[in-house]
Amino acid sequence: MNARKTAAKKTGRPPAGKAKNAAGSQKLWGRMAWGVFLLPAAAVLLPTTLILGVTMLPTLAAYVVDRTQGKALTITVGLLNFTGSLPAVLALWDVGHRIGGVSRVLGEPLFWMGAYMAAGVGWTIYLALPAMLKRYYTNTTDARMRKLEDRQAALREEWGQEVSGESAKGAATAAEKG
Amino acid sequence: MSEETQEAQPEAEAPEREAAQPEPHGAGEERRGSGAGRSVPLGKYVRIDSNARMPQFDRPYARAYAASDSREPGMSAYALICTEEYPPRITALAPLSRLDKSNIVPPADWGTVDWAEGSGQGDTVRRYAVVFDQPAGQVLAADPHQAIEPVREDKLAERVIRPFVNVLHEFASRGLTHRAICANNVYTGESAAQGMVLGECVSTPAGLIQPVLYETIPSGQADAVGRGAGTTADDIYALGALLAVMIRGGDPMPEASTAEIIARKIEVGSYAAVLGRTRLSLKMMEPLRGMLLDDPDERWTLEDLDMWLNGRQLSPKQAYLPHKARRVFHFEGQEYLNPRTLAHGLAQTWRPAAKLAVSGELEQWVERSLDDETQASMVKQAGAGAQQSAQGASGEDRALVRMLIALDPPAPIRLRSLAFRLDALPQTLALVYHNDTKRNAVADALVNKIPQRWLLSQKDALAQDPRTAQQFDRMAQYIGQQQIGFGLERCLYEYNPGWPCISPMVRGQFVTGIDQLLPALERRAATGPAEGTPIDRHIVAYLATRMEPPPDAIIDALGKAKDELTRRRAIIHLLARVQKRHGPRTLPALTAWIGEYARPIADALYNRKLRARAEKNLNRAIESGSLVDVLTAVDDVESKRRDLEGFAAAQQEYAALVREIDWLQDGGLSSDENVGRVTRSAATAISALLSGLVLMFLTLVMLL
Repeated sequence: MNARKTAAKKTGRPPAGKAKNAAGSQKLWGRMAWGVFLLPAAAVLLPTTLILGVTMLPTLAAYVVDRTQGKALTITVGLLNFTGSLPAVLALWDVGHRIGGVSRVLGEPLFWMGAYMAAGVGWTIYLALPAMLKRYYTNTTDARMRKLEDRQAALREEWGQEVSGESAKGAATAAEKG
Repeated sequence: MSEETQEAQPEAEAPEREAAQPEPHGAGEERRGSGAGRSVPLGKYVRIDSNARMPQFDRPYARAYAASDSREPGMSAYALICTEEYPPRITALAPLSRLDKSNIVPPADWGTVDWAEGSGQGDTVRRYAVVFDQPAGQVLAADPHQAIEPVREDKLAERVIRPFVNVLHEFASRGLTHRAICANNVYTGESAAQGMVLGECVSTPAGLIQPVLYETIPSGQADAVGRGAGTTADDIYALGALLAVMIRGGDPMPEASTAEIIARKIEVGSYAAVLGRTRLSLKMMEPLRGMLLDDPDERWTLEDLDMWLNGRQLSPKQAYLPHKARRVFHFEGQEYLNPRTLAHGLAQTWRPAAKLAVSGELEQWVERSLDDETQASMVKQAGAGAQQSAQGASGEDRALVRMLIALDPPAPIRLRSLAFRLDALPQTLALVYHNDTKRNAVADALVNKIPQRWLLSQKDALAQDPRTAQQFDRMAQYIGQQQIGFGLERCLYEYNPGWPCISPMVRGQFVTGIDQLLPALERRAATGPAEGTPIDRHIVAYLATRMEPPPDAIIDALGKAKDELTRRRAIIHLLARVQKRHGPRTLPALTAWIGEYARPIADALYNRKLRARAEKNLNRAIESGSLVDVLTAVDDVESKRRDLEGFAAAQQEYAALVREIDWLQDGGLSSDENVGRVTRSAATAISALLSGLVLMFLTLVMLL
């Protein structure tokens, strides 16, 4: 323990355990800050909260299943899901932002469909993109390899086999064997 | 030398008493000579008629042919065609050419010539020719052992001593020695009233062909290849021996072997050995005793001879004879009574003597039998050192060398089958270079600092001069350096100025100057297989010692080169520098050879365009025949820098490409993780966009 303290003193950094505790503490305070801001807002804007709570269920599902760093799936689905939920929220605001309006708005399947389809588009993007990127990068890799190998060949042509770090004689023997 | 060691010597390297005579000229060679007969030009004016043999002027390793000089049409001249194995004394040619011709045959012209050795054009080799004016009169003795008509004592002073002493003065003033004063190299002159003429002395290395009778005891003990130029004292001794031969009417010991002559001279002194019981007038006895003294410090000098010629009486000097021991030393069936004859005998029977040297018997004998305490002390020291260091055959050899030096300090250095005077060591190395056993003996002597030991045992001041020893330290240092440009080859060329390059690559080309090296390689490239490395250790050592300024940096780089391309680059640099400084401007065949040798350097460039350009430039350089252009083509510093920098950048880029391809192959883009990540972002964005559009639409509907 004392040694750890001494090391921390020397490096000017806090000990690893302390740093972890500090990060956890910051996260907790961040969540508490959001809670302090959002809970009153949700209470004040309860009809909107209810509408969004229903239309943005796909985002909640994405959040639950998302194990990626930075919650990329949640963000992708969430942004589009939120955009798809906006017509329902606007419709609620249009009828006066009352609790009673919530059931009327939610009774419209078009709003459900808009919100969930938008979330589906987000899911689709997230699921289809890796395959597309893989193909793209495979093609890019092949093209780049050809270019690099051409440059290597040009260097060997100009400077001899020795430029590769192999002797010409060794290369000839290898070629014969090959 | 012992019979055993004499047998071990190759014929060409044992030109002792027997070899001092001209070799018999084979009939086949004569036929080849006549078949390929033609007029061979030497320079602009001299022509040598290869059909016109002049055997009366033959020397043991050089044949004589008639020659003519267009500048002097009436002059009778002959040319000696020298061999590459025993090259002429090139550095002595120019100084001796200016000598007065009246009592010496000086060289008139010289240089390399294309010489037909066989009947075909391809048999032409480069030989060194030295042209002389024909001397007046007949040669005194066609054969050194031949009997001649005795010359009257009263004629000797004016016909022989005075003119020859004058000649020796001329030699001494040029720092040279003759070293070929003997009966078969003296001409009678125009008339009996005029002085005799001393023959040439430059066609072979100094002392090589001198009969042992005319050699001092130490010089005679040395092998013929190990005698060297010596000093004026050696010439004075030879003159004394010549006078004795003239007085006695021929060789006093015609049947004796080399060893017998030396043993006789040691035993009774040179004067008694050469003159025997010949009765001489007191006037003639005086200079002969002086000239034939075995102690070089006591021997007459040229000034003494001048004084004698001018009528001054000098006291006759007594011959130095070694002290006799109180007890006889028995070894290998022989009895020895003084250390000098014992040393001579030990040197003849090397292997048993080497065992004896470490046995301690010699020290005991010296201690008990010799009166000379100084020498006894030297022998004891040598024996003590020998027993400490003697391990194995080489240790025994070193022990015996030390013992021989202690027993007979003035004698030549004797090591196994080789005996050489110290001042002749470089020449010995050059002459025995192609004999592995003897070459190793020279190297062993240098590495084991035997010359320095020999110098320490000498009494004369010159031997004590530290600079003399420094030369041998330097030679040992060269031998220790094994990289190209050093070693024994460096010793050979650095200490034998004027010696031709004996590289196998230019064999038969007689390269005596740096300006002749590339033409010689050009001829080799044009006629022989031009592949492989275009230089060898000899050529690099030759260039290291002959080029001015010395190409030390290139040779250093060549020696330290860790990879083949750096080595090739250094070699091309070296040859290009030689061509730039010494020409010739174009060398088509050699450039083609070097161009192919350089091609891997161009091929080593990484960049295709730079490589193609370098190869194009290289091909153009090969066509131009210029090694400098070849060097420029393959060793362009700017191209190399650009190539290396560009290659490094390309390697980095390639590595990045490899990483990116690996990433893509590992699913960098198409992986589920990436797709999921992008899906999250993209789905959110699309959703937001659609929501925005719907909101805009609803707003418009409400407003309208």
